[in-house]
Amino acid sequence: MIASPAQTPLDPVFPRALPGPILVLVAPNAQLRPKDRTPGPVIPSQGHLRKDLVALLPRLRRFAVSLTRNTADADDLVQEACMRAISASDSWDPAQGLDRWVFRILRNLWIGELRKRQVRLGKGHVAADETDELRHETTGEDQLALKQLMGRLADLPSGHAAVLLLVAVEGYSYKEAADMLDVPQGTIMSRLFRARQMLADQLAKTAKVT
Amino acid sequence: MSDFGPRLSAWLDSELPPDEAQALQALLKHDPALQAELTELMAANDAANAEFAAMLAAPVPLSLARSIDQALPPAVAQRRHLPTWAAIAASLAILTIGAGGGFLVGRGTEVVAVRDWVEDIAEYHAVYAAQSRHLVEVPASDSDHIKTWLTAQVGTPFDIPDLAAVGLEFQGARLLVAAGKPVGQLMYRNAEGQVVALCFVASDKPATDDMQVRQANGFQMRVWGKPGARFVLIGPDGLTDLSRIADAARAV
Repeated sequence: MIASPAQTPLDPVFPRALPGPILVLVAPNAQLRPKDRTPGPVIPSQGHLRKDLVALLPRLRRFAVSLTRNTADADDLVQEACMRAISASDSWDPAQGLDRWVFRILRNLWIGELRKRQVRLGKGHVAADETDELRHETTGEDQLALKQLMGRLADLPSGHAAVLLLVAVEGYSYKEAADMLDVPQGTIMSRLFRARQMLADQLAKTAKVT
Repeated sequence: MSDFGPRLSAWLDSELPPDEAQALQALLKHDPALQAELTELMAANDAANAEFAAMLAAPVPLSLARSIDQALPPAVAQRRHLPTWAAIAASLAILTIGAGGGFLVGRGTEVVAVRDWVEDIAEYHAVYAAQSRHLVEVPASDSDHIKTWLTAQVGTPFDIPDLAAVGLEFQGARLLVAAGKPVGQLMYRNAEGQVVALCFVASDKPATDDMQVRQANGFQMRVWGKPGARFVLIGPDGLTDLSRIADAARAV
């Protein structure tokens, strides 16, 4: 039984029949699964929580920017998520890792914020898996800052960069990412493909121009 | 892209059910178009990883790091939620003290005023020392550029100390802003992976004879001045030979 490309060696003939780069990336993300990551989940003591949160800031900001697509919103969100984590540190289960816990807090805060904005705009309550599709106002300056920070990823539709980040970079499984983002696993799968497809199209266009 | 696109993407993530993975593998062996499609998706994945990696190198706003580092612990935060009667009583108490309380107010103002670039350095260090791939902006291999760049930006000439004799390898440099001034930060790492940074800022104060020992934010620091510049060496609390390292850095 083939559990996954990473866990079962491919037919030895197969790699030789493919172009070189494929060999490098066969089952690439399996290597990033949390169980394989070094160092493992961040598990600080209570006394070091603030220090560990500060050390986690670059990753929290990256996740927040991927969700909000706006650097000012992202910084507000990270600050609020860290404050919530500090004030609710008693409810944190170290077994799940500090990063996962704060990622979830951050995501929940963002869903709440989007819902508030929608209600303020008179559009009523919005389901969690639809909030990613909500458009929020951005200025040209915001867009420029986003482009500088995210590069090509800034052009992905709302909700796609965060999925790509969680699965392809942070090493979450589809199920974990679905739980984290409160969307169906099918949505995770389709957004990942769509994001990669759009990036592939961008790369092909760039190659044609140059 | 073919109809296989989503499955190819899921296969890259090892998320395809075993039977589908096996069937896809069999198809890939003999289908050049499908192989090309997979190659495109993998190149896109590589590009995404590179963009996300670059995002980690973006500077974190100091105000954000500071707000979290200085956040009140839960026990103190909870005391803020006093019942209304208690809040009124507390306000009255403060007003009562206010008449003769100039000393307390003055002390409070003074505490804010003495916050200096050294404390900002400690906060930056908490963020950047935790970075593995993005520890520095300019790597050690580009030392000539580091000297030109930081001399121009910080406004004082400097040498990059060779601290190999005290067990540290130069990793590269960053430019920071602390207390409103540009600060050069030379990053070193020891064999255990601990990060030690030598930071310097232009100054018109005279050189110091002694070396000041300070602690903040879980780090220990050694502070001294030379003509034209002030220096801070910062490392983790547990590092036993920071003074010896500071002596070596100061001698350059």
